[in-house]
Amino acid sequence: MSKGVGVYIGRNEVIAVSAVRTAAGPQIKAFASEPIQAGAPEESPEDAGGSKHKPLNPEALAIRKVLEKIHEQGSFVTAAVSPSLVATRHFVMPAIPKKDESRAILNEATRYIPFKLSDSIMDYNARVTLKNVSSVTVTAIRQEVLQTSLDDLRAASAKVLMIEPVYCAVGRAFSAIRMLTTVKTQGFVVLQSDGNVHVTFASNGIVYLSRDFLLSWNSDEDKSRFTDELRASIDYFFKLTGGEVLTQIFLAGAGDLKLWAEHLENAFNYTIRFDSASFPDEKNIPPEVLHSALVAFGLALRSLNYPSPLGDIKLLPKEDRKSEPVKIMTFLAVECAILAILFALARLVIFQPILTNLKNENAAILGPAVLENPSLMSQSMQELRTEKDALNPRIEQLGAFLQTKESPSALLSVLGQGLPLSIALDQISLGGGGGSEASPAESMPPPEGSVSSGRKGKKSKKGGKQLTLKGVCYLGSAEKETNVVSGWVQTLASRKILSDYYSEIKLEDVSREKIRERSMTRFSIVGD
Amino acid sequence: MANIQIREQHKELAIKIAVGVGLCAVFFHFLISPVFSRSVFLRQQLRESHERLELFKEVGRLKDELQVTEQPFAGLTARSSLVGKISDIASKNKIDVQAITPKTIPEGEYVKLRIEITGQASYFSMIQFFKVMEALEPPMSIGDVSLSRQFGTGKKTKGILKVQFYLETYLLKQARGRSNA
Repeated sequence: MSKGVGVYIGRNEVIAVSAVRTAAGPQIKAFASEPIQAGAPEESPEDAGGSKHKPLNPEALAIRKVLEKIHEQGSFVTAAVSPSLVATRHFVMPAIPKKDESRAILNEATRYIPFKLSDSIMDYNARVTLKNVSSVTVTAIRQEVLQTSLDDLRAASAKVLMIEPVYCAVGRAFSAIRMLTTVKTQGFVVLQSDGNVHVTFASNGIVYLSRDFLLSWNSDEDKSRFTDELRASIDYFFKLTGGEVLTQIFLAGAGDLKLWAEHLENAFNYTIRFDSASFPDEKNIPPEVLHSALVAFGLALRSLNYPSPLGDIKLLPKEDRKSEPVKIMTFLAVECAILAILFALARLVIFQPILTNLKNENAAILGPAVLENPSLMSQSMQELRTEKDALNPRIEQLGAFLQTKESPSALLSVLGQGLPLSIALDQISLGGGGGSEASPAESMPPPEGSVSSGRKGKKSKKGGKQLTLKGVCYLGSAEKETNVVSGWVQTLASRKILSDYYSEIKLEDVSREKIRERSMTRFSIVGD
Repeated sequence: MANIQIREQHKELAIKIAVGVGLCAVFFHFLISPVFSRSVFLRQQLRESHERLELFKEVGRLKDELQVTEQPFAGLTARSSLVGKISDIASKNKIDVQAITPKTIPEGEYVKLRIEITGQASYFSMIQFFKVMEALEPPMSIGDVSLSRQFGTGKKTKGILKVQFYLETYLLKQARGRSNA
């Protein structure tokens, strides 16, 4: 993030600063302050569509205005509330293994923090100072106060990255502008416009004392009170640290800091140096404005990854912390990459082999066949089907023709063999067959003397074949003639070639006829 | 109803899950889903290949079968020579052909040649003639054979039958390329 926004929510004013990181160091991009007007009517912000949202309380209204002034509506912000709403305590305890440290410190902290553990949010900064002794600073805020501040910030369109105590921001600001020297102990005093004075004394990065007192706005009384409170705090710090002496105290906040610095240096007989923040790159901003914006500046620097020498205390519960867009984008990019890899692996490891197998199987089927017959792929399936459909009837047509071919020579030979001498045939008709649908009666006129034409239209049992034999038998006796004819019919029926062609050969008609003064038997034999 | 508070981390988790689900859908759509359609296509192609191969083999087999079947049949241009050949064979077998009427009827891919013959011949001449016809190439179908005795007193008519029959064969519309093998 190249830009950070800090919002300090005081008791009577809100101060916001947007800062950027440059090669020369952090710079204030914009800053603004807005008083919290306790009796101000609540406003309802309008969105782009003109519809109104929930009314804003004075704090939220001030935050919204101050963000509008620095053109940072909807920005990610780091915020701090008035130090009077936050409790910071220092204690020592035996060093605890890391895995149990958190639970043990928070349990121990309940003895010092004036809030219920269940109703507050706590964070700590612990360092092992002596062998097996941890020096711990715990900072806590009541959940109700935190939630109200969060609601105010979110109602004012701010996206809250973190809420931290004021001392962290002040320490970070002085550290960022390189005013903190290598001295072991540091003191920070923040004067606020509501008269609250926040004092923080630290040694080796551990905050030993963080407390507030109020000024009464009576100049003489305030000077004396300021000196007394500070002296008491220094003495307490001296006792807590086992003899650490404060030599430098940094002043920040509202009011005439120069005057206060002179007064305090004088009051402490110049044994302690009092300094206010100086911004070498911000010449066009009045010093008193810069001093009052120092807390918000320190808060803005957190987003620019400037560490606080007093520890980066987190008062926003983990589940309420908004991740930085970069972190979210990084997570999403990693998520995307992992999913892409997983899906690509699934594709390559599981599905691609299936496709490859199918392709190979297909190639194994067609490959050798194509080599053998290059024309295999040249025709479409439809063309092949059409070709097959065209070939079948041709084969069937010729096959049927060849199958139904008769052998009249064989039939005639059989008829001629064993013909009784008493029988004279007048007509032999081998009808049907040959695959011809048209009967001879339709196609050609019957020969003279033929009497078989009347049956030619009949369908026979075996493939439309029909045999008609007409003739006469003469033996001088009707009985003998009939017997000879019947016997011949039986002989014919028993012949294999005839039984193959005709299922039944029978004597259809027998009659006596006188021809040239001779009585003869005229017969008609039919084979179907 | 309990006061449900949606925390920032819950929102972010929801965003991460939603993005994850969305990405899964996108990756599924672009990486996995095409596999299914491709697989269906390849399986279909495989079935088609089997079918194509079978069909190709079947067509080849049918072509061979047709070639064998068509082998003895003559082309359409052989019509007149065939009629002449039959007439010649009839004469050689002592058949007195009185009428020979060729007729062509298109039937599918072929042309049916039907030759109706009327004449006179002895019984044995007819048997001999039919034997030759049955062995003739192109194959001939003999049908509607009618042999009738002629009634008369002359020696010429004794044993001579009035005969009537038809011969049928198929002629190929297109000239067939005969192999030398």
